[in-house]
Amino acid sequence: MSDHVILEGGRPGVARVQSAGAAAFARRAPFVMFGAVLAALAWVAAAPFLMLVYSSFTAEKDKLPFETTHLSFANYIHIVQDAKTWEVIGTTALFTIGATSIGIGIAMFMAWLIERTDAPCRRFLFVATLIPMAIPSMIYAMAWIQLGGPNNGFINTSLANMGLGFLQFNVFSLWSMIVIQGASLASHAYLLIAVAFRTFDTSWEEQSFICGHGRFATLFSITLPMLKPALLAAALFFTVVSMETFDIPVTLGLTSHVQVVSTQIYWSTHPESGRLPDYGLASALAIFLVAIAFALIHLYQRATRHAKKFVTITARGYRPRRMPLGAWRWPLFAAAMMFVVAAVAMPLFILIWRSLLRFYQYPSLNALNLLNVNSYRNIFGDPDIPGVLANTAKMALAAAGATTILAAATAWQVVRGSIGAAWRRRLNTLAFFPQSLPSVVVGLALIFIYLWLPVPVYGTLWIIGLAMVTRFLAYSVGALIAAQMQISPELEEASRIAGVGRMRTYLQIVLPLIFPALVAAFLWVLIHIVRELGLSLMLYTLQSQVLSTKIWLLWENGRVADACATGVMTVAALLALLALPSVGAGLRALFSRRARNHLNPCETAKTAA
Amino acid sequence: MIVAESLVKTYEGAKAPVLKGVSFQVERGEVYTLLGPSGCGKTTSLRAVAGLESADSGRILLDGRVVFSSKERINVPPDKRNIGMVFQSYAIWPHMSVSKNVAYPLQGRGLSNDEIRKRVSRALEVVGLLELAERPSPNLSGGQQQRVALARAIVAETSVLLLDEPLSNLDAKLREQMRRDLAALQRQLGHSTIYVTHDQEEALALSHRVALMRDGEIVEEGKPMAMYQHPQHPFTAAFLGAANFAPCVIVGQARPGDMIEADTPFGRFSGVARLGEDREAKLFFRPHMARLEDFDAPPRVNRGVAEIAEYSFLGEVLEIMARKGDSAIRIRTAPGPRAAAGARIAFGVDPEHSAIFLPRA
Repeated sequence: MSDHVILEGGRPGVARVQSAGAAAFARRAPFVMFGAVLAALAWVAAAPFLMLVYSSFTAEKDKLPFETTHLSFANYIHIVQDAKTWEVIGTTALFTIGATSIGIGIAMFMAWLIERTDAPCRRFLFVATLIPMAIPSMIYAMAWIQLGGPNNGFINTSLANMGLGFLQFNVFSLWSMIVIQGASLASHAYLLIAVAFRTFDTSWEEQSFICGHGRFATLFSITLPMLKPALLAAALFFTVVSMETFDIPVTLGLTSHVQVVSTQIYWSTHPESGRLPDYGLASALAIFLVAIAFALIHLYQRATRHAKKFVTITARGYRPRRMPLGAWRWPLFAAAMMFVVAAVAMPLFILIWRSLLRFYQYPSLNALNLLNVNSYRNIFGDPDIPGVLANTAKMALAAAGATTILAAATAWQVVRGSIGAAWRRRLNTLAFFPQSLPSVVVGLALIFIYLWLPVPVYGTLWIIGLAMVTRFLAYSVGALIAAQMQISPELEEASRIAGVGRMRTYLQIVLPLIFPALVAAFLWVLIHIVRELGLSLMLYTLQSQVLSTKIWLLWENGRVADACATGVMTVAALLALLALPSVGAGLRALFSRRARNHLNPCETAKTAA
Repeated sequence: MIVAESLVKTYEGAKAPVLKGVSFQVERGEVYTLLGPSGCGKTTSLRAVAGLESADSGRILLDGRVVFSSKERINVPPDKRNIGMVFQSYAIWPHMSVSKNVAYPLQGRGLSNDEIRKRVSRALEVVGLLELAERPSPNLSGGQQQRVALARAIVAETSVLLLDEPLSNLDAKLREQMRRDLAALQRQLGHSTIYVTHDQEEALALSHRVALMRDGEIVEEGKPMAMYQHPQHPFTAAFLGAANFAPCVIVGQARPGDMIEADTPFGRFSGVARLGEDREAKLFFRPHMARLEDFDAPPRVNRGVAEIAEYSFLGEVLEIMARKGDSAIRIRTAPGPRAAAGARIAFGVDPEHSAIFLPRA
């Protein structure tokens, strides 16, 4: 039997190890529980990947993987030989690197300004930076199409009116796509990066001032180099996010035909009418994407391990001393406001404006009397809508609930379980693995699995819900492992000594203590499920429509005002959810822990011990 | 009564076992202390008795009931061992009030609410916290938390009490106070108690018997005063208090237990021979057992001479560091006038306060 858990030195009271022979005659229940969690994780995390590997060797054009038994490298040879594939990969690389640089750059600037300087209106800037979290990327892209459409986009028309026509841009170009993706990343990146800025020990900077260096010299010679590991980790993480992102490329690419790998996978399986799906090509591309994502995630984990050593978070030395900006105060604030106006205010404004007009009008006082709420009436009158809302609510609540429960069980097993260390580490790795599975890839794999298995899941809401669990499991496990680690093992042991069994100890001691983290993780997943388009689009049928696919269909069918109206209501609902005080606090807590522990199996296993 | 027999355990990945056959027996009403440096296996032994960790082999009995036996494949989980325990961190549940914390071990025992209330009040009264019963537990000081943990450990009136460094998180003053309270409480309740600590003063003050552990083994076991004054083992001599070890050469033949003589750089001394661990013989005595003598008196056995190297004033005593050649010893005396460094002194040590550790065979 395997034994044991890790454990280096530490105080003897905290060492939690059990040992070799012990497991042999330990009680059976822990193994059953561990086995159940392992099986559930294998099902949601490993099965989709294995299915894809299989299908990449078997599937042929328009044949599903289990319709043939012939194994071959044909799909791989095909993508390697196809010039189109290389073009798509090149586009994806450019898109990924560009969007990540822009997103991280904006996030760094905002985080520094908000967390470390005496810039004015910091609270306002903080809220404004986070608002895009409530805007689903698909809706964000739709808003940008209204702003940057080549003929009548609001910004382009305004530029022409001001005689600045040479500044006009085409929202459907790759470059616009990169900027828009970067802007939408910025608020997520902000949460991750702000933690590093917030917890930076200011005495390092003070020492630099003492040595005669000025504010900006210190920023570039001390602060940024010290934060480099944390920033590098964030950059790697968002490189993966950009590489696999789907919503913005598919929305903009619908018109422009600029394709990245994720949209290429989608279009190979959902071809325009008259053409056949190519599951083999999709599978091979998916494996390619997973391999790169996996490598980057691995680098990310190593980087965060390092970051932890570097950015010290000392409760003692930390005083939030802010850097006085002096004359730069207002110019820098103005720069931040440019971001807020361009990336937050204008998209929201145009979305609302467009939702109030059947046909697009350039925003002006004259156009005001044309505004009406017909599209909202259309939406509420749409016979599909009650079903779509019910589907979305059922699916999102159930999937977020299942994800949270599975993540909590996994976190307990990884951090406190009585099974050997080697197995707990494997469990941890398995739980984080879906992080490398892009949405469309998960969607594709689930199509194969449930077309093959004789269970009536394909084409129902269940398959979308299952896909969401896979997609968001790693995030929740990261957050809940962090929460579980903050609960001293002695709190559980004291309950056992008091004569209370394992299960009741969990319910009476552990559950109440991690409850705030559970709620935060649940809501975080819930919000992301509602935002998610790629998965739903891969897996929905007319019976299992959800909000994101409904908006997509309205848009695709040219009902732009109705799509915008639905988008406005979705954003309003998500904003309301985010504004709940518990969510705000929970998210901050979640992200501050995530920044340290998230996605780091080695680290968590070590700390667990 | 607590019996541990030949507990052996190796953590995975560790080269050396953490327990190499630890055995002890704690009588009813006795305070038995496992003392030793960190990593010696004392906490692991305690956790094995509690059932929080399982030994690889060995046997553990609580009041005659086998709760662990590798041979019979018995391993009773901690919640079925019926024990009380105070953790190093106290492990007070932050989401429960003081009285809820204390009442927790009584649930599921088929007691009426009235009875539970009565028992909780009694336990809180014993530790002097009755007036804080309804306080949320995060609003407690360290000393109060320690008392809540103690109340929780005794409320179920189990006969076995396990204390894992219960005083180590308190400041020095509070520690002394709690030490006295703990001793009084133990006399009153009569648990069979295992007390784990790395603090030799705590061990000496609180225990009926002390087991000194090192590297997974009990080096020596005995009553506190005997162990302090007449250590059988050089590690005991060194760990339990300030100690001098002067290199020496044995005169004639020596068997452990004999009264023998040995020549040190300071002079010739006599003492009881004990098994040692080093390559050379060592004369042991505690610094405060040496007394300064008239330097001009005639030489005799058990008298040494040395030069004063330096002084340290420790408050209650003045410590003199004295040298002869490469050897140095410390002598503690009442603070008083000091001779200059370099002055020569003479000191005497009674043979019953010294020991001679023989060279390792």
